[in-house]
Formats: sequence, C-alpha cells, structure tokens
Amino acid sequence: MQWREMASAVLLSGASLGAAVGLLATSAWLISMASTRPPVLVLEVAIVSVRFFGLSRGVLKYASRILEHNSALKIQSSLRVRIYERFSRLLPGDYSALHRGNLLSEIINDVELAQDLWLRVASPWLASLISGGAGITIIHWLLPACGNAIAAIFLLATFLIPFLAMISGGESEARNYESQLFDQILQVAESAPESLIYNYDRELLNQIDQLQDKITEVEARNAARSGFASAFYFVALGASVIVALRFGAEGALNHHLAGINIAVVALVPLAIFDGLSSLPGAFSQLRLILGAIRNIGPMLEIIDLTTIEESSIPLSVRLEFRAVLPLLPDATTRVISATVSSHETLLISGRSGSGKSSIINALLGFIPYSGEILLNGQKLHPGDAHLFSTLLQDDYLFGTSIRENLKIGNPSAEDQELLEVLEIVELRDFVLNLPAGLDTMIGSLGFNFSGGEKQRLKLARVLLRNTPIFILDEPYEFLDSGQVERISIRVSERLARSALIIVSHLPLPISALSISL
Amino acid sequence: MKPFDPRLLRYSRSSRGFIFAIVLIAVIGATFTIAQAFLLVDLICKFFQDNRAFSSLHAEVVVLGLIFLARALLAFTNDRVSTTASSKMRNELRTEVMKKTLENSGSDTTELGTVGIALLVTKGINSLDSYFAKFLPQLFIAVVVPVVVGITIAWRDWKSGGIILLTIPLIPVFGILIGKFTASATEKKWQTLALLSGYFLDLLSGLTTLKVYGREKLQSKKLDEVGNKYRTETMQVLRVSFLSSLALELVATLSVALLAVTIGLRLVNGSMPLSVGLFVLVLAPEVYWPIRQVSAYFHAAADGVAAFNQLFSILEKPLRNANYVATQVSEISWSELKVCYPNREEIIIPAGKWRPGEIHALIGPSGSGKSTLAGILLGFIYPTEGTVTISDQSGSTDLSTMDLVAWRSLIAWQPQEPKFPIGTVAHILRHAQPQASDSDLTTALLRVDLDPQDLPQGLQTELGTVRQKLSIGQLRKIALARALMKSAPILILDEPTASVDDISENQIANVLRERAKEGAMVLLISHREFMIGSSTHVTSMGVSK
Repeated sequence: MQWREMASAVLLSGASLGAAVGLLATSAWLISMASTRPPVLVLEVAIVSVRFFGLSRGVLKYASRILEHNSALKIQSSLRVRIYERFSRLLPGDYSALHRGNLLSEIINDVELAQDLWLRVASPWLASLISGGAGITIIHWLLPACGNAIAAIFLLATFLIPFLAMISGGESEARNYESQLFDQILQVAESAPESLIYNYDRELLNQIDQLQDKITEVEARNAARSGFASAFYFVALGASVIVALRFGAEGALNHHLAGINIAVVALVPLAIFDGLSSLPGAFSQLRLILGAIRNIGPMLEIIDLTTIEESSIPLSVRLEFRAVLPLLPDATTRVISATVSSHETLLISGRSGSGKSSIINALLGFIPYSGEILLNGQKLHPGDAHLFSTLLQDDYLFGTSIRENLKIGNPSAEDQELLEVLEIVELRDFVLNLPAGLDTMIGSLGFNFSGGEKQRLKLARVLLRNTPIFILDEPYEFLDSGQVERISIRVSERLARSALIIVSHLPLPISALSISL
Repeated sequence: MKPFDPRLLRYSRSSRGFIFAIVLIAVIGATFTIAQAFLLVDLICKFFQDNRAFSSLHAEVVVLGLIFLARALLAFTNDRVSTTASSKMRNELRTEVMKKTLENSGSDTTELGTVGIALLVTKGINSLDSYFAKFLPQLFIAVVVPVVVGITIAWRDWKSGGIILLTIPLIPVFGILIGKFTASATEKKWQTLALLSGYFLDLLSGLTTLKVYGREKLQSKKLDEVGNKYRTETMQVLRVSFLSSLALELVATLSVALLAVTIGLRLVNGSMPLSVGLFVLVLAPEVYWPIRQVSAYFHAAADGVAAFNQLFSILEKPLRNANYVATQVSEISWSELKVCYPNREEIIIPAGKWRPGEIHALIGPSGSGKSTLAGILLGFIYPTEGTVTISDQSGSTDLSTMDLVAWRSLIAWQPQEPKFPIGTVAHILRHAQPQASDSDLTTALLRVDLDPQDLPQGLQTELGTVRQKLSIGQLRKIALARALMKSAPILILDEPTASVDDISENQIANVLRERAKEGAMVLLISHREFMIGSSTHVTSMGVSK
C-alpha cells in the first residue's frame, strides 16, 4: 500500500519532468520543421503534442506532489508509533536513559527529518532518472552515438552531484550544536526568572551566542563544499550541450541526422538536466538526514522481551523486606528489614537524602538491591508488577484533560468514580467549578495548576487503581497541615484492604507500622 | 500573510546587503542565460541552415563553454553568499528574541510554554531560513529577471514579447488569490504540528508513569490515530496550497506551448526567421522560471512566516519604561490585587504590608495565589488590578515604575520548583555570591542542613538537564542556600521546607529568624506549621472561597 503510493508518486513526478522534455523536443521539432515551410497539415501532430505536454506537466506535478506528501506523512506517523512501541517495551528502570540530556528533543527532530529522505532526496532523484531516461531515448533514437555520450554525462552527473553535495561533512557536528542550542534555549526559557534574580541571564545569552557562532562556522564550511555540486551541474550541462551540438553538426553533414532534428538534439539536454537542478540542494541535506535515520534506526528494532507471565492476584498479600540494601553508586542507601500485609500500613520516614525513595525504586525493580524481597513467601519477580500501584515523586501529568489523566488509573472508570476520588483529595468542587470541568486541559497549553493541585490530581489517579499493594512516595507534599490530616485519613480508609506503603517525612495521623531511616 | 514584511529588515540588519547581492547575482546570471541562448541558437541555425562544420565554428563553441563555466562559478558564489547570510540573519533574530524574552522576565514562557519558546526559537527560526535565504531574494529576482529577459525577447520579436507580457500578470494574480486562501490553513498546520510533536514528547516523557500503570499499550493506538488525524488535516491544506503551484505551472508551460505554436505558424508563413523563433523558444521559460520559483519557495516560506508572526508577538512587546531605583526599602505594601490566568477563576490577593525585620508567612490552600503574590513582588507577573508600593527614604513608588534590574538585585528568591542551569553545585551557588570560596559554599550548605559530602561529587555535583541524582529535598536546600547567600535585604521563599525533615526545618527557621533580626524582610510561603509558627505575621489567602 505504502510502496505502491510511493512508486506512483515517483512515476508521476518523472512523467511530469518528462512532459517538460517532451514540450521542448516537440516544439524544437515544430519550429525547425516550420522553417522549411511545409504544408501546415504536416505540423498538426506536433502542434497537438506541444499543447498536450504543456498541459500535462503541471497536472502530473500536482498529482505527484499530493501522493508524495501523503506517503511522507504516513512514514513519519509510523516511525513515531514504532519508536514509542519500542520504548514502551523497556522496563521502567531503563527510562532514565530516555531523560538523558536532550535525547527526547533529538528523537522528535529526527523523526521529522527522516521523511525528507523520501520527499527531498529519493523521490526527486528517481524522477530525474526517469525523465532523463526518456530524453536520452529520444536523442538515442535520432542519433545513437550522441545518445550514448549524453547518457554517460547525465549518469555521471546524477551520481557525482549527490556525491559532491554529500561529501561536505560536518553535519553531525552542526547537528550536535543545534540540539545543544535547543537545550540551551529551553534552559533560558525555564530558568529565565531565576537567572534574572541571580544575574546569570548574560551568561546564558553568551552561551547561546557561542553555540550560534559554532553553527555558523560549520555551515559556512559546508556551503563552500556543497557549492561544488551546484557548480558541477552547470559544467555537466555545458558539456552535454556542446557534445550534442558536435554530434548534431557532424550527423547532419554525414546525413545520419535530418537537419530539422539538430535543434531537438541540442535543446533536449537543457530539459533533461532541469530535473537535476534541485539535487545539489537536496543532497547537501542528505548526511543530516542519514544521521537522523542512523539515530532512530536502533529505536525501531523490535526487542522481544520474553513475555512475562503475570502472577494471579492473591486474596491477601504479605510483603517482606529481608535486609534489603539498594545498590546505587552515587546515593545514600540504608539496609531495611520490614514486613507489611493486607490491611496494614508501613510508614517509612527519614531525613531527605536518607534513601527513602531508593527503597521504593528497589521494590519496583528500577534499581538492583542486595537482600531479599518476598511476596507471600516467594521471591518477587517481574510478573508481580501488576499487583502494585504507585505514586512516585516524578509521576507525570499528561498534556491532556483531567479526565484522560485520571483514567490512566482506571480506563473504565465512570465520571462518578472520578469525582469520588477527587472528593477524597478535596478537588471535587474545584474541578466542577472550572469552566471545562473534567475536560480542562493540563500542561503548558492548558490550565495553570498550582503545585499542590497537581500533586492531588496524581494522588486521585492512583486511588482509582484496584491492586493489593499501594506504594505512595511523599503523597502529601505541598499540602497544608489541615489538608494532610484530612486527606491522609481518607486515603487510608479508601485503601484499607490493601497493603499500603507510605514514604513521608511528615508525621501522619494514621495507625501504621513505622520505620525510620 | 504578507509576502514581504518590512519588519524583517528592521530586525536583521545584515539582510539588506545580502538581498542586494543575491539579486545582483541573479541579474548577472540572467545575462549569461541570454547570451547562452543567443549563441546556442546561432550555432543550431548555422549547422542546420548553412550546413557549416563543427570545426569551422570553434570560437563560438569555446565562448559558449566559457558561459557555462561562468554560470557554474556564479552558482558556487550564490550558495556561499546565501548560506552565510541566512545563518547570520537567523543568529541576529534569535539573539533579539532571547534578549526580549529575558527582558519580559519570562512572562512569554507562560503564554507559549517553555518547550514552545524553544521550538519557536530553534525550529521556527530555522524554517525562516527558506523565507530569508530563498523566498525573499527570489521575490526581487522575480521582479527584475522577467523584465530583463522579457525586454530581450520583445527586442528580437515584439509579437512574442507581447504574448509574454499578457501572461505574466496572471501569475501574481493567481499566486495572491490562492495564497490568501491558504494563509489561515498554513497557520493551522503549524499549530497541529506543534501539538503532534508535543503529544509524542508528552508520551515519551511520561512513559514511566504509563508503564507503572500498565497503560503503555493503549497509547500506541492513540498515537497512530493522532498521526493519521494530523496527516488528513495537513493533506487538506496541501491540496489547496499546491493548487497555486499548479496554476502557475499551467500558465508558464501553456504560454510556452502557445508561443511555440504561433512561432511555428509564423515560420510557415515566412514572416519570421528561424533564429528568432528558436531564440524565443529557448528564452521564454526563463521568464516564468523565477516567478514559478517564488511560488515553490512560498510554501516552504509560509511555515517560516507563521513562525515569524509568533516571533513578532514577542519582539514587539512594549518595553517597560521604568527607571526608579530604590535604596533602603522601608516598607512594601500592596492594595487588594487581582490576577487572571487563562481560563481560571480570578485570583484575589488581600492587601498587605511588609517591613524590615518581619517574617511574613502566606498560608492558604493550594491555588489561592501565594506563589502569584511572590511573582508580582518579583516583577514577573503584572496584576490586572491593584498596585504594589515600595517605600524608601525618598518616599513611596509604584513597583511598575521601578527599574526591575535594580529592584531584583535587592531580592533573593527561592522558587517552588528550582530550575538550575547546567553546571556544578558550586557554579550555581556562586551566581549568588561570585567571590565565595569553596569553604564559604560548604558553610552555606551546612547552614540549611545539607552536607556537601552527602552529594555524589560534593560541590562538583552536576545539576541541570542531566537526570538529577539528588532528591527533591536536596535540590530545595541548594536553592535555599543560594537564596541565603545572596546578601539581599528582601527574601522571598516559596516552600523552603517542603520535602525537608523536621531537624532541617528547625535549623532553617533559625537562620531565617537571624536574617530577620539583622533587618531583612522575609516572605515565606509554607504549608508547614512549624515554619508558620516561627513567623512574625501570617496572611491567610483564599479564605473567602
């Protein structure tokens, strides 16, 4: 389906360029023939062809551009889905790699660039080969030797122009600076207020200027090199015109070629080279595009994780930490031993930086640990993941509606249930009073939620889950003490049947087994 | 959408010389093209009608070859000039926008979102490239070159010249008509593109959350749907906007076809020599080529123009004309303040007063406007109603008439969610106190109960966009240490002890009391009872709701 559309686009685009060749060839013949003053009837066919080619060129071009762009957008869309699917197969612990530096912004750019391989490079190049082939066939038919010579020059040009344009190099360097620039600008935008208070706004601007200078330098170097490709285009064009003139003149003297066809042989090269004229510019981008494809290539490989068999949901659970020590190179960790069962709450408290969150990360399998974690007496394994619900400190609210965000907790939840959990976190009336209610958008393009409101939305989302074990990491951050008291009691009521682990530096008015780090 | 916006030239000074150079190159190129056509046709006629041998016309062939070489050289120069100049123009514009963004105190970021700004200034400005380096020069070329070539044709044969003259005006007319139609569509495409990229970025950013909720599979179907929706919308736009190229293409090729046929018929009548007929045929496309090229670039440039309108909304924000510099602030007071955020209930902040030596605690439910008041006092947010008055020895002044750079130098601020620049802990702390020694920094951190030895690489620990290895509590303490290191008489602290344990909190409260005793003004936003208890004044916000 995709391939057929792409092939049709190339054929149509080649035919459109071919129509230009046809227009020039037939008009050259028409004019030359007319100059011998034949009866007008002799010219009838040529006149019709000239008009036909004049009309078809634009129409074919229009059709090919539509098909080209449609398939390019399809390619882009399927790339996004495949990249997403690949990442979604990773284990959550591996995602830290995703957040490294500007990887995410690079992926976005690369996907957009990748379609250019088809749109700007492959398609025009193939189309120019088709129309070139058509033009050369005409010349070859009139004068074989001339056709061969021009074919040689044309082929040389179709391969040498891309080669010359591509050897410019330095794109990966420029690309690297470009993505640094994006990061730097994001940084300025994010820390603009702070930079103004602590006087490093100039410092940030200078860093941007330095990056810009580097990009300019690399681009100037590239332009000098890709300029050779544009120059070579005219050299090749000149060579074929002169070669055609020479063969045409000799052919006419030796009576191998009718005089009226000299103009055809000499002018058709102008038209067939027209198809190549966009290539120097297109191919100067090729390295950049290939770089992008190289970057996303590995992300498209489907990794087959051995399908983890999900364990059955037990009626009650007993989770036991036996001398668990999270193994993290650069962070503080402590050994912990504790047990929590259904209908119980384990409260882990401790100073900031004391390793409370590391314990959670170890439990969820994000980081390695020594010691043992047992679930109902069995060693915890990946198939148990669906028994856990978590509220983590870096939980993400998506740039969509409140409803969609909450429904991540339970896709089948009705509005009634959503409002129920919002009531628990004291957001029910607040949300209902918003103009768009549950449809209010979250994120940079949507509603401006305060830190405490966001935290409570995340809490509400996890409350929609129905699993035997809940882990809440600092759930009552940003709330005032009254709210902490009321909400924490209601949350514990709602999750009463589960085994609940709460990490908090705040004292909570709930009965719990406590350990302090 | 205007094809040419004079504001462009104002914001990038280097563009004028560049456009002149490109147009000059194009005119020289056009003369070469005319000479080339003349020689080529002359040679064809001599071979065809006079049966001359190739060897007898070497001189003309050599000149023709030299013309091709000259065009090659010109193409090389053109590439160089346009790349260098466009890169220079982009840099100028980018610097201007970033300066302005900072001058506007980051208030733009709330409108576009930080990723929006970053996309606009990188991808948006890059898409201006085709506008600057290609479309704009081509616009001038399209005016000059067809005239030069058209006059040459009319000089050789006035009838063909007449036909061309009649068809040329059709081209801009079509262009403008269809361009008008697609303007809003292009803007829409730019928006959906941003949304689509945003959606993809959003999914990847929140993948951990989706994964722990076991919802990652549902989203890939949705991503596919959004991609398809975007494709359909874009194709609707393209179908219309490609129509303008189709119209131009048709005018150009059909008039060449029309010329060829009329020339043929006139040749049959014997009313025209072959050399003139071929000359017109070869040159006629050159009349239309620059104009068609304008339309080809126009679509690429339209993206740039859409981005450009957004850029101008930033560039043309009025500058505050305020220059009062306060010394020795003796009181900050504010009347009842009102602030409107997009589609959110108006926030009302009760009037207040704040003097040196006082620790003011702002309390109230989340969303009641505590951070907003901090933003107003810092000069980042302008209230829609009400004023803030600053008193010093020389009297009282409205905050909106004060020089913000000088005003902010008096304030140390700890934001609720600190966003550190890329750099080490030491580097970041030194922004507050450039001459501080390592031991000063250690002291400052210990004062907020953070031992540098607990950080992975001590003072040299890297912060910024690199995945943070520090806990949120530790980051807050670094931000607080930075605020305390700036020897500012006004301290605004937004949740200084959230995610911080009791022992640290006690210590931090002591430090704040000390600073207040020394005469500092402290504004404290907190949910923590202990902190509220250690303040001298408490303002409750959002109680009326």
